[in-house]
Amino acid sequence: MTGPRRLPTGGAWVDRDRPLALRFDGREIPAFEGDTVASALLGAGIVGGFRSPILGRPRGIVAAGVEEPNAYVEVRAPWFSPILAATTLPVEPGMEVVPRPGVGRLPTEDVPARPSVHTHRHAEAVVIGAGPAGRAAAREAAARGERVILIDEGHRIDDPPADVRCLPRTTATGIYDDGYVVAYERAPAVDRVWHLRARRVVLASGAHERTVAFAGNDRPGVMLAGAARTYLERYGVLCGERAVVFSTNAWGHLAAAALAAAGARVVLLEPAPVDAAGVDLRGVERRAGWLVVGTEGDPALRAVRVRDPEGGEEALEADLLAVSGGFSPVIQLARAIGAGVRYDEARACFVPDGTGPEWLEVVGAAAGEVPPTAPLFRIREGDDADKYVEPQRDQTVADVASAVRRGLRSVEHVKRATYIGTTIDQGRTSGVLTVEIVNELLGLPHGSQAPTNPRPPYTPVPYSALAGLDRGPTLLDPVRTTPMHPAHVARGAVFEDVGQWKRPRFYPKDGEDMDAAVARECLAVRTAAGVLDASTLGKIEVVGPDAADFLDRMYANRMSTLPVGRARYGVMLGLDGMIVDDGVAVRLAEDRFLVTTTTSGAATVLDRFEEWLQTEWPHLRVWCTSVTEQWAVAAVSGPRAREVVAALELSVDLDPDAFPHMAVREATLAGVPARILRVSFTGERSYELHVPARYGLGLWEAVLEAGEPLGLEPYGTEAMHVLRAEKGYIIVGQDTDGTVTAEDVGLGWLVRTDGSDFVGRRSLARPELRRPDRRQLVGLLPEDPEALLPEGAQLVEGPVEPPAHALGWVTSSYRSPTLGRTFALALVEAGRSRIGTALVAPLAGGPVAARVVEPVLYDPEGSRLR
Amino acid sequence: MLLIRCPWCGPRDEVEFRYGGQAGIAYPADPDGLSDEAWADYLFMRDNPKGPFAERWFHAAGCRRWFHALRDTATHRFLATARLDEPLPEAGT
Amino acid sequence: MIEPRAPLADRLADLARLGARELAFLAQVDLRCEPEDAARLGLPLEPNTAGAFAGAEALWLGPDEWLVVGPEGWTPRIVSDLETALAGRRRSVLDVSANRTTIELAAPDRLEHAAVLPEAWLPDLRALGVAAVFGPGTPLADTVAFVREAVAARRARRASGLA
Repeated sequence: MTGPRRLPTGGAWVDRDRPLALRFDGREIPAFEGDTVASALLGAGIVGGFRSPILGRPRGIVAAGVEEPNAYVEVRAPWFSPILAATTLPVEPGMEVVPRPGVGRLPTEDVPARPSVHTHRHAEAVVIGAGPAGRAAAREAAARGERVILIDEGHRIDDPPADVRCLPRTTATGIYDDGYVVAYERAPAVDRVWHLRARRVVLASGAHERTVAFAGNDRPGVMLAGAARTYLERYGVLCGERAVVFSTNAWGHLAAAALAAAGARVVLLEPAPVDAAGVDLRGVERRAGWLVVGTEGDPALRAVRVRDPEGGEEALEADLLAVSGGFSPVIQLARAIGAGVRYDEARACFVPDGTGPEWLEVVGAAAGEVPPTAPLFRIREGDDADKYVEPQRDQTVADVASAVRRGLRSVEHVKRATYIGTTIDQGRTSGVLTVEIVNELLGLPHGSQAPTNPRPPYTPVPYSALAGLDRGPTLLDPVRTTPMHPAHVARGAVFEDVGQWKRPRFYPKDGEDMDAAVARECLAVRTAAGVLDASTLGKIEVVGPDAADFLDRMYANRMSTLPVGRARYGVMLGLDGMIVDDGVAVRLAEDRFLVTTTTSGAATVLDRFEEWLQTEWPHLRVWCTSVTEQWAVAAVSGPRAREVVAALELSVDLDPDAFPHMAVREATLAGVPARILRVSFTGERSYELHVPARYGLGLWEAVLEAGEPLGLEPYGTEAMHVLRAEKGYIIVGQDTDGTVTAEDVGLGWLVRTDGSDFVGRRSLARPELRRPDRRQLVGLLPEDPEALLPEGAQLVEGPVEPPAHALGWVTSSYRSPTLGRTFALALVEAGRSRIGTALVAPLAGGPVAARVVEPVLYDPEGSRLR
Repeated sequence: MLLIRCPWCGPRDEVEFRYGGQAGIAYPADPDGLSDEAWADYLFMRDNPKGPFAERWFHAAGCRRWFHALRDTATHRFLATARLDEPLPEAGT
Repeated sequence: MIEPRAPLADRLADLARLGARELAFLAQVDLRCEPEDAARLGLPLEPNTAGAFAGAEALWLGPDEWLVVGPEGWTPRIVSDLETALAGRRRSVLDVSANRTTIELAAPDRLEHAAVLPEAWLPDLRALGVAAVFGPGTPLADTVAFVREAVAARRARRASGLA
C-alpha cells in the first residue's frame, strides 16, 4: 500500500517489506519502517496538515530535519510527548500523533514518561555529524588508535567507519568547557543522555539551507529544495509533479536535477547566475534572472507568480515550490562555547573565524564549505506583511521593518521585540534571514552583525530524559536510613526528613495523633525510660599529639583540660563570632578525641577542620576522620535508664560514682564492642550506646526487650525536641540562624577568656556583638496554657498598635506533658532584661500574650542528670 | 563542566571540588592588634579581578586536599594548579 | 548476643537479579601516617593506585591516607599489624569497616546497560591505566575503589545541586 506521492521504487532509508500504519489527526496514513512522520505524510500526498501558532495560517512541511519550522506533533501513542518535530520522528508501530501549533501541552491524564538513563564515556575524539566530513574525521582518529565516538541526529549512519562507536538518533545538545559534550539519544525503548568528555571535539554538523522572504512564502507546498531532494532519495517520496525550483546556488540546482530525474516537470528559476557545471540539468527548464513574487492556492500551492528580468509577470502552475537561498553553517554549538564568526561574502553566510577553544575543530560544510551564492534574502516586490521570516511566530518582513523603524538596531533587540528566534527551532531558519534584513534596512553591508547568540540545548530535550533514573521519592535525592530502620517501620513510626536522613518523628500507638503520641513518649522518658535512635549524629575521630591543641583552636571553650574518659559540651564559632555548630567532645585517650556534631552539620564540620588544618596549621600533628556511619547509636534516657542498660550484659560498672555523668567507657555489650557515653539531651540520666553499625538493629531490639518490662518506650525526634526545649538546650539551626552568638543564647559562660585564641574570638570584641539590646534566648509561657505559639511568630510589646517594632521571634514551641501546658523559646531584643514582663505575638487569629521567663523550665539544677 | 587538574589526582570533573575563594589571605598573626576595620577587611573583603586570579580549591570528593589554582575569571580556564607547599605561577607567566 | 546485619540485607533479591552480591563485612581500616613511613611499609604512593599490605589491599585515598581492605574478620589483625609497624611513629589507625559496604559485580558486560551503576561518573579509567576494572583476577581493591569513586562522585554531584 503506498500513497499518491510515494514512488513505486527508491528510498534508501525505508523498508517497503515492513509497512506500518500511522494515525495522524485521526486519519490512518500508510508508512514504512524507516519513514519519519513527515515523510509518511508527504508520501500520502498531505501537503498541509498544520497551522501556524498565532494566526492559525495553514502550513505544511518545509524541511527534512531539525530546521523544520511548521510540522510539530503531539505523540499520543505508543508513548506521550508534548511536542516533537515530525521531520525527525521515526514512525513506530501503533503511533498516533496530532498536529500542535507551536506550543505543547501537558497530558491531563496520568501517562508514563519514557524511561531514560544517563551514561558517561571518555574519548580522544567526539565527532558531531556523520556526513562525509564527520565520517572522514572519525576514520582518521580511529586509525590513530584513538577512542572515537561519532554521533548523528539521523536515525541511521550509513557506511559507518570501523572501530568507531556510532550513535545515530543522537543530538549533541551542548558543548561545554574542556570538551564536555552532552548528547541526547532517542533509542527505540529508552532515552539515553550521554555525557562525553573528549580531548578533541570535531563539529561536522553541516549547513542548513535558507529560504527567501517573498510574498506567500509560507503556503503549504513551499519547501526547501534540499528537503525535496532528501524526501526523494531517502524515502522515495516525490513532493510534487509540477515543480518550480527557485535556487541561488549549485546545491539548489542539484535538487532540480533530482526532481526532474524522478519524473517531475521542473522549471528552475535562477535569480542570479549560478555555476552549476557538473549538475545534469537535462529535462529542466532553466530561466535566468527570474524571481518568485507570490504564490496562489486554496490553501495548498496551485501556482507560483513569477517575474521575468524585464518586469513581466505570469503565474506558473505548480504543486511544489522548492526554494534554496543559500546555506548557513550549523555552528550554534561552537558559538555557544566561544567560537567567533565572520561573514563570507561569496557564500553569503557566517562561518567560523578560527577563534574559540583550541580543542574544538569545525570541518566540512559547518566550516563554510558550501556553494557560493548571491546574497538574496528578500524580494522587494509584494506586500512585506506576506513575506514570512519566522513562521513559528508568524513574523514577517513588515514586523522586522516595524522594529527597525521604532529605533531598534541590534538584532538582539529585534529578537526581543518580535520574538524571532525564540522558538522551538531557535532561529535555525530565521536567524540569518532576519539579521541580513535588519542590516539591509539599516543600510549596512551584509554581515555587519551576526545572528543572535545561541544557547544550549541545540534542540529541545524532555525533562524526563534529563531526569534519568532520578525519579520518585527515593531516587530524586538519596534516602539515608540507619541500621535500625526496619524496626522503626515495623513499629509504625512516622518519619521526618533531617537532611537526607529519615528519622522517626513519633511512634503512634492505637490510632494516636501526633500530640498524643509525643505526650506519651515524653512522659515515658521523664517517668521511666525512653530510647532514641541517635545514629545520624556526626562523629569525627581526632587523633594525634596535637589533637587537644587543635580542638582548643576550633572550640570556644577549652578541650585540652578534658581528662581521659570524660566528655564536654562545646560550641564552635565562625570567624565572625557566630555559632556554627555544637556537640559533645569525648576524650578517649591523651591523643584521641571523638567529636560529635549535629546531624546536618557533620560533613560541614569535618570540612572546616580540614580547611584550617591544611591551609593554616599544617604543622599540627593531628588527623580527623569521619566515623558517622561506623557507629549506630541508641540513646537510653530516663530515671530507669541505668536499669535498662544494666540488663544488657555490659562489661562496665554502672555505679554513678564509677561511671559519672559526662563520661565515656569502652566496653562489650551483649557480646559486641561498644562505647557508652553518659551525655544527656533530655535532662534525664542518659546512656548513649555506640556499637558498630552492623549491630545497630540487634542493639535496638535488645534494648527494647530489656526495657519494655521497665516501662521503656521508643521516642522520636518530636519528643526529643520537647524534652530538650524544657531544659533550654538549643538546637543549632533552629534556635540559631548564623547571626547568634554564644552569649545571646546564654552560653557566654562557656566562652573562655584566658586570652588564648580560637576561631571567632577576635570578632567577639566587635561593638556589634557586645550591644546590650542584642536578641537573647528566653522562655515564653503563653497566658492561655493551651495556646501554642507558631514557630517564627514575631513578638512585640503590647498593646499591638501598628507600626509595632518587632522585638524578635519564637524559635521553638511545644506542648509539654511534663509542665502540663504549652511553652516556647524565643530570641528577643534585650530578652534577659524582659524576664517577668509580657510580650504579644500578633497572629492572624488574634494577639496571643505570653510571659517572658528563664529558658530552663525543668530541673534547672540538673539534679536528674546525675 | 570544567575539568580541573587536582595536583594529586589529576584531571577530574568540576563537581568533585569546592571553591575556596581568594588565595593568599592568611589568618592574621595578631588578631588583637587589628582595628575592627582591619579585622572586618580580613573577614569580608576580597579582590574581584577580571582575568587571572589566584584561588583556593578543595578536592572534596577525591583526595580531600586543598590546593591553589590560577584561574581566569572571564574565561573560567584554569591556567595552573599547585599544591599548597609549591609555588603558584604568577599571572602572565 | 547481638547478631550483625548486612546493610543491604533487604535488597538481596534485587542484587541477585542484577548479577551482583553484597560483601557486607569486609575489614576496612583507615590509616593516616607520614609519607615516609608509608614508603617504608610499601604502601602505594602514587595517587589512584592500590598495593598490598600484610596480605590485605591498601588503597591510596590521599597523600597521607590509605584504606586497608581485607576479608571479613581481618580487622583486628590489620589494626595490630599497622600499630606494630608504626609503633612510636605518628599515626591514626581506625576501624571503619561499617562506614561502607561493598557490592561485587560478577557480570561485567551488564555494566554496559547501566543496570547497576546507572550514573557511573568516573574519571578516565583508561588514562589512569586501569585497563579493565572487572574481570577474572581483578584485585578486590580495584572493585572497592571503583565503587568508592562512583558513590562519592554521585554524592558530591547531588550536594552541589548538579544532576
